[in-house]
Amino acid sequence: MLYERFYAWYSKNYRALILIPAIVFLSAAFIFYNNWQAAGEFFPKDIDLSGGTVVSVYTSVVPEGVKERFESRGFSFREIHSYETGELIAVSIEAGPGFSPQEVALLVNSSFPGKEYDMKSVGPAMGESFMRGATRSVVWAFLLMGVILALIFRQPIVAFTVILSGFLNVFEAAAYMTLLGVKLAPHTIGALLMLMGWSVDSEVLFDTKILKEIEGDPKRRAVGAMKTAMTMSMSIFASLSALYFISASPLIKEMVIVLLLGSFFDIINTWFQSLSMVLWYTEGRK
Amino acid sequence: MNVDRLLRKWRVMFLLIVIALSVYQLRPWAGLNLHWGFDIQGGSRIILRPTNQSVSLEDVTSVLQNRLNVYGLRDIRVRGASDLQSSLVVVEAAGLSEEDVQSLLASEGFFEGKINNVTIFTGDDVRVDKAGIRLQKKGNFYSYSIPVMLSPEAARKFAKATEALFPTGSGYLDKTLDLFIDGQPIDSLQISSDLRGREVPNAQVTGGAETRDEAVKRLNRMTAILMTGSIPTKLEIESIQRVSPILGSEFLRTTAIAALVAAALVAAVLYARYRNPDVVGAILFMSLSELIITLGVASFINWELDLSAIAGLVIAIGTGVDQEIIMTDEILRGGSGKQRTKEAMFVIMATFGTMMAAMLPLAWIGAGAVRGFAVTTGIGIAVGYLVTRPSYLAALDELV
Repeated sequence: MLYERFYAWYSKNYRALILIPAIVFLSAAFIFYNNWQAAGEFFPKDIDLSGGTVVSVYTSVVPEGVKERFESRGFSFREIHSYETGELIAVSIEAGPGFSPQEVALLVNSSFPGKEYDMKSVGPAMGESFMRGATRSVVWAFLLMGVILALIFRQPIVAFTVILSGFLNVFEAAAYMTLLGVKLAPHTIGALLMLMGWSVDSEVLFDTKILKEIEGDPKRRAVGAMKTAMTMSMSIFASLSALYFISASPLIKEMVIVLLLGSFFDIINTWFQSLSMVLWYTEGRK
Repeated sequence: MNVDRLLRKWRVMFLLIVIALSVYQLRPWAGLNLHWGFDIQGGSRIILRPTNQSVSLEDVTSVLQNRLNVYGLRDIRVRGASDLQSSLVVVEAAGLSEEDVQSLLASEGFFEGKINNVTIFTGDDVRVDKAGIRLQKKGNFYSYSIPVMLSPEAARKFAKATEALFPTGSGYLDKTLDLFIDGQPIDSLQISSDLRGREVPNAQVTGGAETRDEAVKRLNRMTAILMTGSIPTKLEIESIQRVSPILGSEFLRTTAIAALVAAALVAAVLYARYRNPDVVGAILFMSLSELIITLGVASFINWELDLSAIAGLVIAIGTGVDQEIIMTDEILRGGSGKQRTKEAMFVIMATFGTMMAAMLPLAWIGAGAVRGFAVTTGIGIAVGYLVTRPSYLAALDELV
């Protein structure tokens, strides 16, 4: 019953649904534009790419005057509170590329004697070449994926929609992650590229259903495949949420945020953009 | 479900054999044969840039590694790497604090040769003639010789010190030449009687062992020691990353719990959809197999598992679940079995190709910072494509 009503509504409106991914795309472009206006770059970069030192000290108290001590030297000083209890669990101290890691470590040791801490320090030259290497590998990854998809699907319309929707996923997840404070870093770049691979499977599923099979109405076949795609998305969301809430590793949390965003945009781009375009194309051919 | 018929499918058999091999490789009864990364064990990763870029990176890394080994530190990996601009040295020291490593890399590695407790030469007086190094088999014994040149000053001291020694019957002098690094004795060499009282400008440091491997090891170690005082370049610290051991293990523990909860949630989603415990069980079994086999491969190639590698592993397994959902739905819809199988495998091949293409270039950025992620994901999806997916497809006939 519900299914039939959805099918009736969908077959009438699938063309108009292309508007939704268009709006999402524009909003992502607007975020990048805003970042550029505010900071002169599209992404806030993690110290791996910009150079500098980050120290996380695991402490539940900040002694008097310590915050000022760091800030007076031009370091940023941020308190991290537990999501559930609101207690202070750590402080994060960030220093620009002008400071040596030894200098920062010395100050941390004297301000928080005996506390466990993590540290990461990257020289400015290193950060710069990281950034260049990362750009190069993203370009290579996209070229390689394009070649492989074109080889696999001889039909240009399929190759085009798959690449377009994969690219949109990456583009939109990259924009929205900056809103959530996730910076560009080697591991977030890894997660972004991963999205391209992820977007392919549901995409290909729909396209094969619509273009390769012949029996019946292509719109009905599309709605049938939505059930499969929905199960896939549900299991992805379930497992990513578990990782996000339970894992203590900031690296894994950041990757999960990127993947969650991407999986969400994947639904929008696959169902409302790519699927609509391919349907439109098949209907037009009849 | 017919277990007997299931086991007769060769793809299912193949899967079980690969799992058995992986378990054997992992040796869970002896505490998992895996190499954990520094961000899990706790420890540091330090990236050094040689100030003189024209020196051979291999010389620098082997000297550093040998030097660290001489100090008795085993769990340290030193490797050459490069970014777009320059060659780099990466030191990963699991289970060590970055202060320890820094003090070792910064420490002089001061080399001394003494006769009768009188210093004859230091690292600065010795130059190794690398081209002249020989390894020979004499009877059942492998012996090596390393020609070194001594400074005139050292040669004079040698003459003076040996003057006072006496030959023993065996053709050697009664005192040995003792070698030290930072005051720690490392070796004692016998001095040939005919060198007594002579200003020898060059000398042979010799030694050997009964097996070739052992002799090569000793030769390399000695060469490294002799060269330690003369690392051909200064090293600048480019990047330091340090993770405390308590946090590292906490990251692993919570991520493992998260993976278990994720599996339970996925099982709930699958059950809600299929209402078939056999299908849910089979998909979870495939995920577990992928985990075991991927870890088995990682262990076999001695791959280091860091946090990003764990993330890659989880992602590869998640991708596997998605693809098994596609297969299940294709088979459930019935119709011509061959055609359905072909379509499902087509989707899987396209995903496999795209992911590999995405991961490949990642392996080279940032001196290998996300190589762990790229390689583990690659292994995971390859295992899925080659082993678990075909066997799931074979098993599906019996399950639905």
